[in-house]
Amino acid sequence: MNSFISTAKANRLFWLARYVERVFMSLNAIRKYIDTDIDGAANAYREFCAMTSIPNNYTDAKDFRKKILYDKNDSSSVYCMLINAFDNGIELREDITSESLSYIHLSLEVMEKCAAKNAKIIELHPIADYMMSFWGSIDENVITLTKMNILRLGRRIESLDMNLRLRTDWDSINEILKGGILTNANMLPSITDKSKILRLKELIESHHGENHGEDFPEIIGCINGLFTAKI
Amino acid sequence: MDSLITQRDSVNSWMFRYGVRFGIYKNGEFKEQIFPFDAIARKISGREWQRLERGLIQRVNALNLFLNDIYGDKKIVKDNVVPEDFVYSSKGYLPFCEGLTPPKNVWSHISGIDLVHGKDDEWYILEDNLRIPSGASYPLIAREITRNISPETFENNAICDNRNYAQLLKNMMDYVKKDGINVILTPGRYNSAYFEHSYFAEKTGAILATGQDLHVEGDKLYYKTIGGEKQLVGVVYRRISDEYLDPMVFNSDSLIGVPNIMQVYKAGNVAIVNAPGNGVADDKGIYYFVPKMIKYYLNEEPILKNAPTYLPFYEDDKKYVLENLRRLVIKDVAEAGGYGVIFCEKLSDEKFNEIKNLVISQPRRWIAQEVVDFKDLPIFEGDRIVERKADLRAYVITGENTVVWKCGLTRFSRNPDSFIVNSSQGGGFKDTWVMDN
Repeated sequence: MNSFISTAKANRLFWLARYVERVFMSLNAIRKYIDTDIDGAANAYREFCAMTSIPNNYTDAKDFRKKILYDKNDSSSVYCMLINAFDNGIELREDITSESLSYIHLSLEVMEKCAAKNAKIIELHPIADYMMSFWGSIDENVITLTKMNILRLGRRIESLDMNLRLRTDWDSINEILKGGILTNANMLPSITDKSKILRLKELIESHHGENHGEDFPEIIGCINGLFTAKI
Repeated sequence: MDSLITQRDSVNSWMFRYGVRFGIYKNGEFKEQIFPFDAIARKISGREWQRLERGLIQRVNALNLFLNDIYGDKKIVKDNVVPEDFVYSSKGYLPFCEGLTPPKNVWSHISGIDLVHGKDDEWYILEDNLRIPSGASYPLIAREITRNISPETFENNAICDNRNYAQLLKNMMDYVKKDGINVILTPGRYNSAYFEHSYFAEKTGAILATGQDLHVEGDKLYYKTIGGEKQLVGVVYRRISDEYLDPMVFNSDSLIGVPNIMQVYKAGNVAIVNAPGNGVADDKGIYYFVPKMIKYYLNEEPILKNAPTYLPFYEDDKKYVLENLRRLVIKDVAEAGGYGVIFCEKLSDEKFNEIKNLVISQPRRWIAQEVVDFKDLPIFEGDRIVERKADLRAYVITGENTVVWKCGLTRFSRNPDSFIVNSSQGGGFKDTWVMDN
């Protein structure tokens, strides 16, 4: 495996990691809301839309279930996220290996079949398994430190973004930030924004155990502006 | 082979898993298709292969000498072995390459030679592909999958190992390269052979780059890395055709090439695989002269035969062609990929006369060949076995030495009435087993 990487590939690695993680986390989160909608609070999906900043263009819970999973023209759908993961991954075969890429192929195959019959979300569970296998394969096969740091940074940024939106507890968020993102970002000084990293740390620490309400837009802005390699 | 055949559906699903596909444009839209794999391998005995191997090495060595001569001293033209009309009017001839010598004097590093096995048991060369021959990745990955699906097939049959293709490529690139790293230059993911580009980058450890990742500074070629750093490039295995390689020299509209790469090449600071300008030697018109080249450069009798070919350019041949046109196959020398191949016996009278007039008015544009009655191979169609036409693309790698990969791409037609085996026209492929006996 070669150790050099262009800015365009760095960008693709980062977004591949983000989309793979987004697929995984979205499936888990959506499953909970769909479950609540079955016999719990009516229209729980609206809360999901609000928390994740997805425009609520759904007529009802049934419409949400179908579109959030399978409408590939809806950029919020899991199908669309998976296509975005694939579009980045297909250009990175030699960096991530055919084996890692195969888990995205397999996920797409499951997604296509389930979308064709508007399958229940439980039938998408193999995709979550494949996403975990994908990360296992990455850990096993990607030996170049820079590439690995970009992938891990992308994964952790996505995780932090989703956890913040889904109001995960602050201890976990702090762990993701301190244990992962800061370490990875510090290893990539030429493609990360140091000032945003420091500001993010400051913002999250200042809200330890509290609601981050008014600082939320700035926190999200820091997360999404932290990685600077653009195509 | 039985266990492999019973598990043939698994092979295709594993190929899907690994993204083994080729791209095709239909009605202006890009689509990826699987390249249908047939589990019944073509077998070539060890003795038969030895003869093929010698013949292929001989042919490729002669073609390399021809290219060196054409862009150098031109002795073969001066000695009237090949008419200059066929050299300088060829679309593949590049005046820019006049006087250039590629690193280590290798022009055709990867040659894809298409052959058919006649019913007379003779192998005939149909075509030499010296520009960007593709397809080796398919039997390479198919073998890896079939070996794992049916290990007993490979334990119980003495089949030559084909794992070394990527190593052959890497050795060749390392041999011809100048100072710097190895790069595979791709037009991008919407190219029909993108799978192969990325697969070989993975397997050879080369960097897969697009034109935008490379730039010329002074007379050196660099790969741009993150943080503004740059890496010197020593060899480019380009999967972009000559006309799009350098917009400053060839097609100025090209967005996929690398501006000024030809200046770096001319300065001797990068090897380009295959060398620009090779198209002059795999022109269908030049094909006729390859046996003559072998005698001229190597002073040897050709080991492998061309399909019987006529050049309407020569009066005697034109007369023969016009008298026998109905049973001949006519090929437009400017076409490739199975296009421009006309089986005259199938033409309506009107179309036949149209072609006949074109042969008369543009004799340089055509070659005519006897229809080689080549062997059918068994393939699965659903659950039954049927016979279909098939060819063989052999891969010959020239670095320090010229070697033939002990495998090949066997392509078959899925149409019972067709001799056209190209993937772009619906064909499938098989593994090619060179037997170790």
